[in-house]
Amino acid sequence: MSLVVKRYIPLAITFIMGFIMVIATYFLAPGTPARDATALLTATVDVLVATAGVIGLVALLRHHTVNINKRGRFWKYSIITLIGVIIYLIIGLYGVATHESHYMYASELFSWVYNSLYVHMDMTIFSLLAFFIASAAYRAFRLRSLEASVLLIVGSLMLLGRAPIGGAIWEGFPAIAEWLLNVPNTAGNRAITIGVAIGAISLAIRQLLGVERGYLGPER
Amino acid sequence: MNIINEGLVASFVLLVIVLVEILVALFTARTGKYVPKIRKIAGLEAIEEAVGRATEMGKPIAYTTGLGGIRDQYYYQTVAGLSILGHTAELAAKYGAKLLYFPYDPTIIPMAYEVVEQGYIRAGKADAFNPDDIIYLGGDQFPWAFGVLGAIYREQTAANIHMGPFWAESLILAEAGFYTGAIQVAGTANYHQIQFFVVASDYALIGEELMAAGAYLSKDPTQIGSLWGADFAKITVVALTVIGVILTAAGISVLNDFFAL
Repeated sequence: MSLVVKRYIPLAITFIMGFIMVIATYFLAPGTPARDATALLTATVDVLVATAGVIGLVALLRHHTVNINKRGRFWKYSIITLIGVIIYLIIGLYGVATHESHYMYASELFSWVYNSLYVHMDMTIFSLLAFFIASAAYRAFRLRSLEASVLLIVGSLMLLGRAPIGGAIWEGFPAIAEWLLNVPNTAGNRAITIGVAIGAISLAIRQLLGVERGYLGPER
Repeated sequence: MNIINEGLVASFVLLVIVLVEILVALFTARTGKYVPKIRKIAGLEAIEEAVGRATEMGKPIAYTTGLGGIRDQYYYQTVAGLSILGHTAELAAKYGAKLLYFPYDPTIIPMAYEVVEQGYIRAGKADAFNPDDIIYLGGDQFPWAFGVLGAIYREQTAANIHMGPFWAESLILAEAGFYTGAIQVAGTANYHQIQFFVVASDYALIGEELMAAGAYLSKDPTQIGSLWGADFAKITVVALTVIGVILTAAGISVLNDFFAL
């Protein structure tokens, strides 16, 4: 019974849903009732996926509660996380409860916390990426091999072509940068994209036929 | 009235050609008539080295599958990442190393529990599976990335493995691992992030190598056959491209017209 529930039924659902979606995409005209029915199927998936948010919340609360109870590493930060999650959850739920429609309403306080606290912290973290790029570029651009040398030359030309100072030094730099971006770079990208697309189809076939089951649970 | 939706005729024909090629190769390998050999993928071979190193150092392994879930268009990378996670879990269980997995999307948390547990069962160490080692840090890009970065620094992980769809956080994670001296294996099919992994990691899986991982690691002839079929499909696409270039240069637009259907 367990094997049927945990293995065969998911594989059957995967095959049937994949087959339906291929049929819908190619053979059911947009706007027809049959196509709308498949759109409803996609919406059902969204509903199922939405419940995963609860799983995420429970997993987050559980992890930090366990860490506090065990006095694990940096457990005091877990307290801050829990306080943050719970307060923001209360603010959100209070906003929904007090709004006349009771429907996914972001109250003023909810938006303020998001825009004035969260967004700034998020952008601060994002901005640190510039320093990571600089340190990675320093290592990548060292003249250690032929490939690194090509990377250094191309990188330098791109910098000169994209920065205003490059065009001021010599007007040919922007054109070179444009050519590098549009010709060799695009060729490489498309080669990777074609390989990925065919690889994805191959993977999808293996999954739809139940040949690749590595993403499923134990066979018991 | 068209049988196939407008604008999708060429796409459908191409899909059928690719499907036939992959299925023929898959079933040929399945019957044992011919089982192709596949080249070694250094990035996948390196996972055992990474797990071994973590075991020797007595430090954990950090594993991530990027920002993908199971409902978005990048799901195939996430699923490939989960397949490699299962293999990594099996190796970690076999050697007795601690594996920390950081899911990004809550939809993959239940799958991750199953996949990691399956790895421990395959290694014959089901009791060693600890659900607390699957740590959900939140589902927003940079908070998640810095959560993982923090864990890498705090735990001083000996090996970091990143397999899946990545965006701007790829370099944050890879650089964190570089500074802690961890051995790093990373792979993504997002072409705009591959260069960061190549630069900052010890081993990188490029594009389709990630999708081939499940078949490669399973060593199942049927799955390997599908990779063989995918190679035929690539030859077809390259041949069509070359023929299209020649025909267009000669002023014949037959292929262009067909792909506009």
